[in-house]
Amino acid sequence: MLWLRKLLAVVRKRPLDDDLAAELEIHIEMLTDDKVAAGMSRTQARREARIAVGNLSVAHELHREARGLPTLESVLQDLKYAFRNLRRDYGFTFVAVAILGIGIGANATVFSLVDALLLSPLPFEEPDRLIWIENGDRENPGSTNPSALASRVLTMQHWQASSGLIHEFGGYSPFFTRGSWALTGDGQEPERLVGVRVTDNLFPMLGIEPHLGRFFEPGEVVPDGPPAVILSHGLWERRFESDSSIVGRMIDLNDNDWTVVGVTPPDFDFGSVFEPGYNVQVFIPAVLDNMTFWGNTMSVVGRLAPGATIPAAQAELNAINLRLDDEEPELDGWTYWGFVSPLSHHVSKSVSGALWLLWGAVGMVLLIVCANLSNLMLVRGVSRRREMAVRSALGAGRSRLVRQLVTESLLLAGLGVAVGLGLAIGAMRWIGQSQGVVLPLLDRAGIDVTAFLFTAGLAVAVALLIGALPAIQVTRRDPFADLGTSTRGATGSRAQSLTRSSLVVVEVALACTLLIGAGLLIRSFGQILDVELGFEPTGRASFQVNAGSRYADITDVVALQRQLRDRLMEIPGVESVALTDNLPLDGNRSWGLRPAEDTEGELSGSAYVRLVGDGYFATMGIPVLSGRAFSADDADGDPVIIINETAAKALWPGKEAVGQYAVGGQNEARVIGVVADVRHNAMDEASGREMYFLVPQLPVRSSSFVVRTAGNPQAMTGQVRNAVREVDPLIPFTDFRPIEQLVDRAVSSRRFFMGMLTGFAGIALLLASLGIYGVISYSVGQRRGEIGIRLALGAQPGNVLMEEVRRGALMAGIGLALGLASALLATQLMASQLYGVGATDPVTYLGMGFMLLAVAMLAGFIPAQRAARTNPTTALRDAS
Amino acid sequence: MPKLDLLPGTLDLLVLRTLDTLGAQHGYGVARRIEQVSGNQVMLNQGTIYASLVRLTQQKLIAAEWGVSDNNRRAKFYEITERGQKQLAEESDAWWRLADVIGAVLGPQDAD
Repeated sequence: MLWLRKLLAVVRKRPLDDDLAAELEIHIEMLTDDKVAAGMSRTQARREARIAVGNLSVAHELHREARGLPTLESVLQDLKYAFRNLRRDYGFTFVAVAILGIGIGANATVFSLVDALLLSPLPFEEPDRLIWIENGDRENPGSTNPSALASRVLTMQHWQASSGLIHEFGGYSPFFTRGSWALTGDGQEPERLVGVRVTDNLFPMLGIEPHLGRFFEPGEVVPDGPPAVILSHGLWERRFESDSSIVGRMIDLNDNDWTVVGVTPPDFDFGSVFEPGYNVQVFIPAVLDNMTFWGNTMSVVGRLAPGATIPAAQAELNAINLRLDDEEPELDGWTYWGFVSPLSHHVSKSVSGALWLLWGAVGMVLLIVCANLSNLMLVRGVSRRREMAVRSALGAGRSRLVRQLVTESLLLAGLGVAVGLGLAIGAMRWIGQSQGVVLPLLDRAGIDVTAFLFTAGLAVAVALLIGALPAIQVTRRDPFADLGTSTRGATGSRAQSLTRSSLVVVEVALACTLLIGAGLLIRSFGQILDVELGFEPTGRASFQVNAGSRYADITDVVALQRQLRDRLMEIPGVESVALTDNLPLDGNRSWGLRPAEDTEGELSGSAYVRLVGDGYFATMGIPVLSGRAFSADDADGDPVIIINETAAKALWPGKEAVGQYAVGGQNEARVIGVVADVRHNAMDEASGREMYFLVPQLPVRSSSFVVRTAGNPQAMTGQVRNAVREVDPLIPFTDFRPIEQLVDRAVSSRRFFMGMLTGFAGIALLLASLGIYGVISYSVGQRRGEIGIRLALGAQPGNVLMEEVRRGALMAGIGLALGLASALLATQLMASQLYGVGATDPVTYLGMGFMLLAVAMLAGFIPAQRAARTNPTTALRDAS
Repeated sequence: MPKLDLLPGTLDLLVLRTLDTLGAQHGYGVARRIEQVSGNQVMLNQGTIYASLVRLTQQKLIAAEWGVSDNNRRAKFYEITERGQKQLAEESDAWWRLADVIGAVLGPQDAD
């Protein structure tokens, strides 16, 4: 524990020094006494005693070295000195710490997102062996139609039987948004829950452990097995108040009794991994034997055998699929293929491009911050030349001076980290809570140890970057030259001013690149919002109704739906009401669609399918292009179908579609109308083929009611709730969601990235103009005397002004040119993030370029004007 | 003959030995004793002895306590600890062995 005592000695410097001083004083007195006793005069004795003891400060110095930690002490001394310096220049310190804080905070925020989404392994056991297996067109991969991405259970079972490299196959049904689960019968308000069907091996395959109870047992995933349900940790905490005796209890879901068998662990968020934006609350067993011959209903997750690689597994799966072509006639007519990718890729795929981009952008912001601070430090360094010269003349070595300067920048960086981490924590909290941000794995993103270490490392790098240049410049000089000159009126050398200008040019170039990047994203976002949705989102809202098993017969369900609609129509202000099984940009599924006469299936293709009530098109504002919409009378007539424009053109090219017969799924029906294309899957994805069947010709149990109102639909939430209660009080009425929210959610991650990048570009612009302002302002300040003389000799203030503005314009111009060039390169990387604009969109380049130039000129103009207004008399008096 | 400079590190040994002989003693007493015993041959800035004292205290080889001297002055008294005595035994042993080796190599001193 010697080092501890030594450390203590460092801290208790004062009392220990006092102690020693007392001891030395006593020592001298005792020695004096002895010498007096030996016959010396007191004055003489004291003099000799002092000589014998020697130099007191040397004794003190040796004492300190012996008892303390000399290296630490000199570091502390540096720190103390640095701190004093920073406090004295509080204006500089404030600006520097603010700039650093913003730069570091932005980096810490983006890093924690990148870390959670892209760098960290998934929070599962041996996540490297987890894979995602996607269905798709084997000749033409890359579709995003969810039905085409899911696989048939039958196919999955064949894979399971034949694969050696993929240990296990499991999964979940991705069409859960439709299958909502009504929780009733526990005395609380009925509630609509998002439930997903999972295979019994999914959770064990992921390697998570139940928080309570267990996961599904084989007996629970067979037809007519005991109904078992697993609750999410969040639901258990909220709805069941963390009741530890929940396992074994019955709950009422869709009018059936289900036994709670387990609760998922708190750190497992199904939605955030597999379906970002959905809060999945209950897990229902997927009974594969019931689902074998269903369509593409299973999103498949697998676990590789130990040592197996993705390419090997892919090759094996391809071979199996080719064999199935020949051997398994029951697979005929279904597209099936298995595209294997790491599960982690699948999870982050939708955002990884944008995130890497953001990371690059935020790195650029940090570079600008560094350039800016370097400049500030340089300017400061010039005014500290005398101080450095004095210290150097007093014997401080160059390394000691450099260390002092680096200590100062480290201290600055440290303060910047404190501010930055505060900002980043705030930002992450906002991102985490914001409903508008739909990102996968967001529950795991936060300022954790990794993020902290990254930030700290960043700060050290920044400190070295911003401290190095000034340190070299300041300490390279001849101290005696500096001691000889007065600092006032001295002009920095040409080399220094060139360095500063170059740093500003770099800042402008980086800012320009960021601005153009952000501009392209903003333009893309505008294009997306201008997309022809095919429906009218404003003035509509929807709620979900799930007819439980109390409505045993499907005719009861139809009656309930009719009753609900009639009751809702009575509400004053309600203009129309219609039901649909899926809302646009929400849930999705697709069936095959072909002309009835095309028995060979040459024109067949998959199409989004919607089962809608009559009045749906009018309620949603979907234009009918030819033929007519569904009417109430159609319900009892022959089967009818309505298709969209794209499908009509594909199925009957050059012919009138209305009046033709089409087969959608297994249903043949007469086409009675063609409607506009609706963006069903994503805003930035063309609509593809779409078809609509009429409820109750094809009935649905679980549906969304869309209500169109004269005013703001949400103002009528209470009336709508009451109407639903009157019809059936057991129907959970959880939310009356504006359709606009669906559009919002569909663009949320795009908006998020656009907002972030725009924010960074804004910071960059601000910092770059601050850089220009700083350099001009400083040079004007330094040359005040010179300008005064010139004005006194008759120079026109206008000329002085122009000269300074030109200097600013020159820096901005060179920076702009470099920035445009680098933007041309950098924006190539973001092509996949753009929509409706090219990476070389001239409007963006011109607009952003002009904006940058204007701001830069303004930044230079302000100090230039100050120069032109210099009063020659005072300037000369000050300078002399 | 000019005074001798102490070899680095030997002051600690001298201080330990002095405290072992004298018992509890203040810094001045230690310095005085070393000068006396050495017959004033050693060059000693008495102030430097305190660095040695604090170092030994930190290593728990000696213990320090404020007290009152014979002539009624407040002073810090140092006393060798058990650990210090052990250390002293080891180090003086090592010193003698080293001195013997050096003496043997240098050979018998010329009498002049």
